[in-house]
Amino acid sequence: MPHPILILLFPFLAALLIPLLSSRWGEKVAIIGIFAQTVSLTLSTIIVYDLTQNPPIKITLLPSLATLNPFLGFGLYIDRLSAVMLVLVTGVSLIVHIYSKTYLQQEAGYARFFSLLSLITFALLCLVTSPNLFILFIFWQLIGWLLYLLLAFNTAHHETYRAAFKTLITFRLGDLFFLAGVFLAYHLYGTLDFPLLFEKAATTDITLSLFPGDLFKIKGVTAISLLIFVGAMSKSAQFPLHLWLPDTMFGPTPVSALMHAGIVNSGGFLLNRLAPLYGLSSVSLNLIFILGAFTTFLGASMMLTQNDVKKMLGYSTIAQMGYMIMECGLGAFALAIFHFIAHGLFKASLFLSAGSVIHSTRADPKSPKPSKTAQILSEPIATKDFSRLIWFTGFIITLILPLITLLAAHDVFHIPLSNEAHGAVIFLFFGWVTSSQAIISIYRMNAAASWKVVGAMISALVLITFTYLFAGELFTIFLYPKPGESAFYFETAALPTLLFDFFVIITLIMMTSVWVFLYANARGQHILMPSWVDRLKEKFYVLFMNRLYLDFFYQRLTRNVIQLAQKLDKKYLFWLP
Amino acid sequence: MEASFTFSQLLVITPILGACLGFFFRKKPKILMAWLQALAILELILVFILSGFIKAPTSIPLAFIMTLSAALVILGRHLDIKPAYDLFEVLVLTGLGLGFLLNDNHLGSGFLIGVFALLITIQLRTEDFSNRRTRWVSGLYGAAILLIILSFSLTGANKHLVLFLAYATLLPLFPLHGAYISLLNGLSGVLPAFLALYLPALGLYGLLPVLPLLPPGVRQIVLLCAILGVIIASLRSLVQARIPQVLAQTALVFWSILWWSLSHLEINIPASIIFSSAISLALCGLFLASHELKGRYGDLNLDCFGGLVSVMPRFSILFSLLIMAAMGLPFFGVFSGFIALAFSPSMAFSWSFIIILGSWFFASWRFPTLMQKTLFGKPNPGWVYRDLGFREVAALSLILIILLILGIAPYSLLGIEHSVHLSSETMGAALWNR
Repeated sequence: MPHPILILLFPFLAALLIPLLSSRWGEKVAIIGIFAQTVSLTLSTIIVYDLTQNPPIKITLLPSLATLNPFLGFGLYIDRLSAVMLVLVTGVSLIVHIYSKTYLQQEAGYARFFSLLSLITFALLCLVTSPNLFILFIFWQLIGWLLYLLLAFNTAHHETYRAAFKTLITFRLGDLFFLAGVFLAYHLYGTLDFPLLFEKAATTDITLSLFPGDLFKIKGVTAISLLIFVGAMSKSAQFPLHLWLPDTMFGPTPVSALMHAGIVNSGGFLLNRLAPLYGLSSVSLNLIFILGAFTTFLGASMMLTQNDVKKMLGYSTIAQMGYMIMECGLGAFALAIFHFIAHGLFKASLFLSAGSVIHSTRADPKSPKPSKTAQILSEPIATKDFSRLIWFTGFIITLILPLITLLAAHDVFHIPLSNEAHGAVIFLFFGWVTSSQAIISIYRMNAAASWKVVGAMISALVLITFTYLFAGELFTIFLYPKPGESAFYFETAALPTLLFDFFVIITLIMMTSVWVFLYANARGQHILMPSWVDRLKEKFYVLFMNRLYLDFFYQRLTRNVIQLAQKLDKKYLFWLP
Repeated sequence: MEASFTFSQLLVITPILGACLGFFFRKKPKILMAWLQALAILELILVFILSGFIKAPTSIPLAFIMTLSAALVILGRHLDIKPAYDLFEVLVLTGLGLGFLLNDNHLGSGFLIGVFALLITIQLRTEDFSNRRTRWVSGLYGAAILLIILSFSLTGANKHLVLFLAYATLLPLFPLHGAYISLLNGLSGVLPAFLALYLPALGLYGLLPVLPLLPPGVRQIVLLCAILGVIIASLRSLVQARIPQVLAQTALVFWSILWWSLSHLEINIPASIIFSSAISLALCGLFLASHELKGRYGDLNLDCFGGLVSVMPRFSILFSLLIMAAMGLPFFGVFSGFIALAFSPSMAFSWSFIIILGSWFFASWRFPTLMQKTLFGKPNPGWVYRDLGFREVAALSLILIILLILGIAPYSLLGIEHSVHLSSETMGAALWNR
C-alpha cells in the first residue's frame, strides 16, 4: 500500500510548484494541479479499500519533536470516515481543477488561483486526517483564510472582496468559539488526542457552574461540544451564522462549486469526527437538532422568495446543511455523511453547469434555450390533462411512510434491520421526506395520466426508502463498525416520543397541504383563506425575502459599534495618543 | 564573571561606536547603508557567539531578536528618505538596550535611563513640546527615569513596585501606554518598526523578575488595566484613519493580552517570550511595510491606497503574509505564542479569557480590513507605482521566516525552558469550577 502521506503531499507540492513554474509554463501549470489531484484521488481510493480490511492508520510524523512543541506533533489519523472524506475532497477538487482549466483561461491570476486551489485541497485533506483536535483546529482556521483569498480572486471588484471579508469574519467568529471549546477540553481532560479525549470524557464526569454559587450548572462535555458546534455552525452556514453563504456568489464559479460541495460540509465532518463526544451529551444533540431543523426551514423559505438564481442555490445549500446538521442531532451521524456526499456531488454539478450557462449566455444572448422540462414546469398544471389517478397515487404513497414511521416509533412492529430500532425510525423518517420531495417533483413535471408516471412515483418511493434504510444502514456499519456504537448515538439523541410524533404530524400536515394545493391548482380552484392568513403570508414573504432583516441587523450593529468607538475617542478618550 | 563583563561591554560598545563612525559617511548614503548593515550583522554574529557567556537565560532570546530586528530594519530602510538619523539611532538604541539586557543592577538601570533619555531627545527632535505626543513621551519617560533613580534608594516591595511602574511604560499597559503609541505614530523612518519590538522586549525583560515579587493586589490591578486596555484599544483601532495609528492601537490590544497572561498566578516564560517576540516581529514587519509605502507615496492615509495587489505584487504577497501572521493564523509565532499562553496550566476559563478571545476577534477584523484597503480595489491612476526592491523584499521575507521559526521551533532550541511560580493565593472568581 502507498504511504498515506503522499495523498497530502501531492497537492501541497502542486501548490508550491505552480507559482514557481507559472512564468515558464503559462497556463499549462493547471496540469500540475490536475495531476496532483488525480494521484491523490487514486491513492485515497486505495486507502478506502485497504481500510475495509484493516484497522485505522495512525502516523506521527515527528514523534520525538512532538513533546517539545505541540505544533510539531503533526500526524495522520485515517479511519474509514477520513478515508471517505479523502475520496470526496480529492474527487471534487479534481473536477473543479479540470473545469477551472478552461473556465479561467485568459484571466489574470490564473497561476495564483490554481496554487490556492491546490493549497486549500491540501488543508482540507489535513483537516480530515487530523490525529487530534488541535491539528484539526489549525487547518480549520487555514481553510477559512484560503477560502477568503479564493473568494476575493477578483480583487478589483468591491462586492466580491466585501463578501469574501464577510465570510472571513463569520469564520473567525466561529473559530473563537471552537478555540474556546478546544481550550476547555484541554483544561478539563488534559489531552486533545481523539481516542484519549473520548475515553476521558466518557469516564470523567465534570460539572461546571457558570456563576459562583453553583448557578447554571452544565456538564463539561456539553459545554465543550456546544462551543465547538458554534465553529461548525460558521463553516456549515447554520442560523444565525449563515449570511456569508448567499453573498459569496460573486466569487469564481469553481470556488462556489468547491465551497458548496466540500467546505460547507466540514461542519458535518467535525460533528462526525467528534461523534463519541457528542454521543455523551443529549442536551447538545437535541439543541443541534433544533438548530438544524430551524436552519432547514429558514433556508428553504428564503430560497423560495429570492429572485436571483445563484442566491437561490446558496439558500438551498443552507437548507441542505441544516438537514445534515439535523441528522447529526438525531444521532444519525453516518447518514449526515451520506447526505453531504450526495448533496456535494449534485451541488458541484449544478454550480459548474451554472458557470457554463453564464459563459454561453455571454457568447449568445438567446442562450440558454428553455429545456422541455422547464417549459412543462412553466405551464400551469391545469392546462395539461389532470389525472386523478396520478394525483391520488402521489397523495396516498406519500402518506404510507409516515404511518409506518409512527407505528415503528411506537414499537407496533419492528423493522428488520440490524441497527437499533430508533435508528431505523430515523432513517425511515428522512427517507419519507426525501421520497415525498421526489414524488411531488415527478408530479409537477408530468401529471398526465400514465402508468409510467405511477410506476416512476412508486419506484422513487421504493428506491429512496430502501436506499435510506439499507444503504444508510450499511454505510453506518461501515463508518461506525464498533458493535453498539451507532445505536448508542441514536439512544443519546432520542427525542421524547411525543415530540417525535409532533414532528412527523407537522411534516405530514405540510405534505398534505401541498397535495391539496396541487389538486386545487390543477382544477383551477381557489382555496378560500381568511384575510388575515393572506396578510400574514405577505408579511412572511417580505420577511423571508429580506432574509429576516439579519443583514440589516448586523450592519446596524457594526455601525453602532463604530459610532460608539468614535464617540468614546472624541469625547472621553481625546487625551490619549 | 570577568569574561561575562568584558563580552557584554563589547556587545554594547560595538553598535554605538559603529554608529558614531558611520556618521562620517552620512553624505554617502550607499556607503553608509553598507557600513551600518555590516555593523548590524556583525553585532548579530557577536550576540550569537557570545550568548554562552550571558548569565540570564531570558536575555538571550530577547538580545538576539533585538539585534536581529535592528539588522532587518536597516536592511529594509527606504533609501530615498533623508536624513538617515533614524539608522544611527537604531544602532545606539540597540547598544543601550543590550546594555540593559546584559548587565545587572545599577549598571543595567543606567543603560535603561540612557534609553529613556535618548527616546525623549529623539521625540523632541521630531516634534516640539507643544505636540501632545511629545508631552506623553517626555512625561512618561521622564517619570520612568525618576522612578528608576528612586529605586536605587529603595528596598523590598517598594523597590519592586517602583520598577514595575517604570517597566510598564515600556511594555505598554493601559494607561501607561501613551509614550509607546506616541513614538510609533510620530517618529519617522524605520524607528517605529524598530521600537515596536525594542520597547516591549526591554519591558518584558525588566518585568519578569519583578512580577513574582509584587503584592497580590497589584496583579489584580494589572488584570483590570489589561482588560480595559484590550477593550479601549480594540474600539479605538476601529476609528483610526492612518496605517501607523491602526497598527499602534492594535499593538496595544496584543500587549494587553500579554499583560493579562502576566497577571496570572504562574507565568509561562517561554510562551510569554515567544508571544511577545512574535507580536513585536509581526508589528515590526508591518511598520516596515508601511515605511516602504510612505517612502514611495509620502502618506499613509488608508483612503489613499487601493489596488496595490495589481501594481505591487511582491509587496502584496509579503504584506498579506504579515497580516496573516499578525492576526494569529497558523503556523506563525503569534498563533503559537497565544496558544502556548492560553494553554498554560494556570489559565482558567474565566470572563477575562472571554474578553481576550473577543479582542482576538477584533484583531482579526482590523488586520484584514487594513489589507483590503491597501491591496484590493483599483489603483490610483495618477500615481506611479514601484514594487519593492531586493533589500526590502529580503528584510520582510526574513521577518516572515523568523515568525515561522518562532511558530514551529521547539522551545528548547530557543533556549527558554523556565517558568516562574508565584505565591499561592488564588485568582478571582473563575467562570467555571469542577
